[in-house]
Amino acid sequence: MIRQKKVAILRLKIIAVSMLAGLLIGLGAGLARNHKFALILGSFIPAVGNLVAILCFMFIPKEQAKISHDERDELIKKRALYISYCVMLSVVVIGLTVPFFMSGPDGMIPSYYLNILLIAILSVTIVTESVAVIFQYGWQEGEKS
Amino acid sequence: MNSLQKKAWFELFTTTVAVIISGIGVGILVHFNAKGVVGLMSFLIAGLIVGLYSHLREVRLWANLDEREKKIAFRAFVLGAYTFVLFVVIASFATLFLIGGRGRIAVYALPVISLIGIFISQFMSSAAILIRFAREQADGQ
Repeated sequence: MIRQKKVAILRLKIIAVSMLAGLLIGLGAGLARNHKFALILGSFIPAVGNLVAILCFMFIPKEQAKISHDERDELIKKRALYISYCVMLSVVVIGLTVPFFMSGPDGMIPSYYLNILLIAILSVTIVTESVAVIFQYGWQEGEKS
Repeated sequence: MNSLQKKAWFELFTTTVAVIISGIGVGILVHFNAKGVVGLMSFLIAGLIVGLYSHLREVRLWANLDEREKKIAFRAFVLGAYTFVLFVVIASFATLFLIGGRGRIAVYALPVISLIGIFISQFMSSAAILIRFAREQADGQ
């Protein structure tokens, strides 16, 4: 399996685990009526997960072959980047506009809303890019090795 | 002026006009205290139409570009996206540290942040294309 696809799969796994852990721990703390703890853990764990997902390419060794990737791989990478950026920009605009319409112009939101939105944006971008890479290489293993 | 330079100027102009009109629209919505799903849906549908139109226009234009121009256009797009994200990151941390973790911000600040971010992002993207071609022209002379 090509390195780019391995990284994409690992990123998806890390994001899924961190999101699930953050959600469960945050939900558990919320049910125990410790809202501050729920908020901190619920956003901190996915944030760390995002960071690990970004840096996870370091855990996968480079291929020993002289030509590790060709023009097709570059094109796949470019397309995945383009798709993920488009999705990211849409999510940012929607995330910044929905509270305005839902609560009305007089509404107020906590200042940490933007930071939580940032974590969500980062997750969405990584997931979109990874899915785009895996989709373009094909879901089945061993298509190009 | 080639098609990529025309695209850069056209997008900068349309984004500036769109941001000004949207800014006035946000002001009107704040004045009339508009809220609810109808406003949100109309905004989303308008955004979807504009996004779809600009994407189709991009696809049509992309087919006429050569490899070098495609590379320049892609780099400009990435620069614009990075600028937008950087702006949102700075805005989010600035509000957190200036207002404080327990503070609250007015919701009308969010569309304003979004509009400023879109304008700066498009400005950087267009500037990247125009500066690149201006440099190449200067080198050629």
